[in-house]
Amino acid sequence: MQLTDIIFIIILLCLSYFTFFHLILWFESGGKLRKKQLNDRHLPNVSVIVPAYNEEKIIGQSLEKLLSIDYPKNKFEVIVVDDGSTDKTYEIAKKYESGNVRVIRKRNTGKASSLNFGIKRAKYEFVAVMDADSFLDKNALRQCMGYFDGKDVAAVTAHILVKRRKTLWERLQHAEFMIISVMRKAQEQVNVITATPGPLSVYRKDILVKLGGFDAKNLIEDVEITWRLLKHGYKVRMAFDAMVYSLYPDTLKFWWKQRKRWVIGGVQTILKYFGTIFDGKSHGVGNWIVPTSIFGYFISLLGTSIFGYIIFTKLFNYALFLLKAFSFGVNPFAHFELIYNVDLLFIYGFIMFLLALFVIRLSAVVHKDIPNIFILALFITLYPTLLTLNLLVSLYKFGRMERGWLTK
Amino acid sequence: MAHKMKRVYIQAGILSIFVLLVGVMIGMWLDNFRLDSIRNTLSESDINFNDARLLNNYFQKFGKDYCSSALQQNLAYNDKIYSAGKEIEKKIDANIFTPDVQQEWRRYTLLQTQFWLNSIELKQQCNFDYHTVVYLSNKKNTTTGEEVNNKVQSSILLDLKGKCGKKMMLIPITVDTDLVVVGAITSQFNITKYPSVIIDEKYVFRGLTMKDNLSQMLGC
Repeated sequence: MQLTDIIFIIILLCLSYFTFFHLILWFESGGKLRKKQLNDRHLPNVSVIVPAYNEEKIIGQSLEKLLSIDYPKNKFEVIVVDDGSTDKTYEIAKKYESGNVRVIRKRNTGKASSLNFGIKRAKYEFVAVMDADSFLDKNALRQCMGYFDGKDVAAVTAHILVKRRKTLWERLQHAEFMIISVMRKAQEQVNVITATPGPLSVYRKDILVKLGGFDAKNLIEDVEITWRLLKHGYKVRMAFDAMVYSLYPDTLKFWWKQRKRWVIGGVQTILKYFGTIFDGKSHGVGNWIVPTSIFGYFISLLGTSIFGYIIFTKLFNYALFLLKAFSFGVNPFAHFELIYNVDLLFIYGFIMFLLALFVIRLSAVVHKDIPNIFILALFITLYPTLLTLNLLVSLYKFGRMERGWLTK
Repeated sequence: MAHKMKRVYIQAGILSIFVLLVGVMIGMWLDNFRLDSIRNTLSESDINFNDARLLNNYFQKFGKDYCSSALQQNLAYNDKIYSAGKEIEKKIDANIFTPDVQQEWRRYTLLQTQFWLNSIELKQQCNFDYHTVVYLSNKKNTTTGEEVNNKVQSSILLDLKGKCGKKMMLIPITVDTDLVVVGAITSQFNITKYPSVIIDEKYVFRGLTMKDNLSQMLGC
């Protein structure tokens, strides 16, 4: 057994540990996947904040969808915050202005700052945050509100899925989001949900205000606010049955750019909360989220480096063989045989593949669109490799950034 | 919450180790399965070799057409042992739990050496004009360059075998097998570089050798 085999086995062991951790919690959540909906009388008042920047193509459709949700009209208001768009976003949104819809224009200061701007103007006790390119299922907001069953529940996030699944990248992200949704529901059991994403998350306004609102300096303000809530002992829940469909990058180029921002924001948030590992307090941020995030980055880099090394060595050797064979007048393909002997790594990899399939199947409890086998195969091979390459580039970029302001 | 977390930590650990153990057990079962298959192949080769040798002895004793039948047997054996070697080589790379597999490789090398000596004897007794081509290579601790050279040399020899057919007995011998007889061969022919090729026990080509040079020597 070679050293690379041993390292691979350790990496796969860590991966299976992480998977089982979530699966055990998922099964413990048992019957809590669907919450009984609150009737109109018990539904609280909600201010829905929609920050928008250059969304002229989509804002009309998403507002129409939002205004048609099943929630008493007298119990919710919509605040569209146009973050200094240079296109017709403001003009289009303005057309929807009515009794419970306000459209406010401000100079461009970024998403987190727009959210804080909206929160200040929100008149109700709950604020729902929604991206301008997200589409809520009819019952999504109503389902979310049912999870605020205690004063310590500070936030509830929805079940986020990819709306458009035409390109390969959209389909790969769809598989990823299905797995994430199962993980998030599992994490809820021990209060270690890592993010309340932008497509739809609802917060108690008083808690948000008390903690200072969204961090305008953070690149992933939805993750940062979640960690902050958990650090202060609040609970974050997930409404698995509240479906929200959002638009995600349809090309590798845009996907790459978005992930770079997520990674840099992730590192920024890890650095901000690194101290929680040692603060001796029993909360999920220091006990689980920060350590597993760091470990996850490390394992991805290590695994992909070794995998890359093996592939590179094999390709390099083969290229050298081709070169030498041609120069020695031999047809290198004449005796080529493609034979693979099943070994331990293959078996282990296959088990992990089955586990991924199983997790995706679990996510399909509330919707039926399961990715096909081709997408799944790419999802467990190509996708993690791209994610790690992106991680590497992003870390390099982060290392070169003037980042004093990022970690304050 | 903290208590629940600890419990899940432990349960996830137990399950992960269980899956690892299942993987290891399946891996070991597959390794043993491959080892058994290698052993069977070698036993078969061993039987074939002895069968051929005994048949030759029998024909020698009873004055039948000893030479032509011996040649047929030898050629058939050469093809079989060569493909058996290729099969074993692939299985050895995949086996990670059973070091016994290396022992089988040594057995294979001994069979090849035995076959070489038998071919020399036959050639002398019957005045055959086939060529014995011994291909010596290193398997363990090779650099990238040596590994590539081995592959290229092996392809060159396979090409030649295809071209020469019955006129060439191709006998690959792995050097780093800790066998005394192999040590004797390398010191007698002063082999210091790999791959090397010995043709008809007279001509030694040290290092990667061009196809044309070998082809000229073999006359095919």
